[in-house]
Amino acid sequence: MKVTLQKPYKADGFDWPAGKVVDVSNKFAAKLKAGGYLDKPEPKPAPKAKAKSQTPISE
Amino acid sequence: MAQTTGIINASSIRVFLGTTNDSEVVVDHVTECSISLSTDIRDITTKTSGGWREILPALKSASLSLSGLFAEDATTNFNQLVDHQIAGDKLFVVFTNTGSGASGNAGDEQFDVEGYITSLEQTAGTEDNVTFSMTLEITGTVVREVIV
Repeated sequence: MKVTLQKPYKADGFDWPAGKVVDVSNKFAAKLKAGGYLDKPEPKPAPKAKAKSQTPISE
Repeated sequence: MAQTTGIINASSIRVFLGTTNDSEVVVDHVTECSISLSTDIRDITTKTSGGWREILPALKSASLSLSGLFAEDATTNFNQLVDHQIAGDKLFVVFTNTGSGASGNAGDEQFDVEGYITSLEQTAGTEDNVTFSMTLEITGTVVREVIV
């Protein structure tokens, strides 16, 4: 099955970069999946906006 | 997925190979592939065989052949195969039915074998595709298994 690597794979005689599409056997696909090579990386949380300093409301 | 019903389309049969078990990659641009099993026989004919030869099975062997179109930039094609042959690499090979999808069709059966490339040829005519062909002799047991 065709899979897209989400991170580089350097094993089993291969040296593949992230993003490479490879057509692999079912067992190899399962092995890549188990190794986390097919999972999309978690999106980085957006940086929190700086909280504005509150000026005390003068009465 | 369930076992495929009816006559199989030959284009669905693909060959995947690699140098470690369960790390097989499809051979790109294949146009034809075959796997062949044979059994030698032991002749046990005697005077009491009634004039007919009698046999028993002996040594079993198998080979796998494929041919295809050459592409310089393919992941697994002639360039990789010739490296494997020169290095004497043991190859792990899956001869499988991908059905109408891109992966092995669960419920069908496939061959899972190991072997060495014993013959590899590249052919280049005039104004035609560059092609290649390969024969792999299988070592050890020929495994026929259900695709999962």
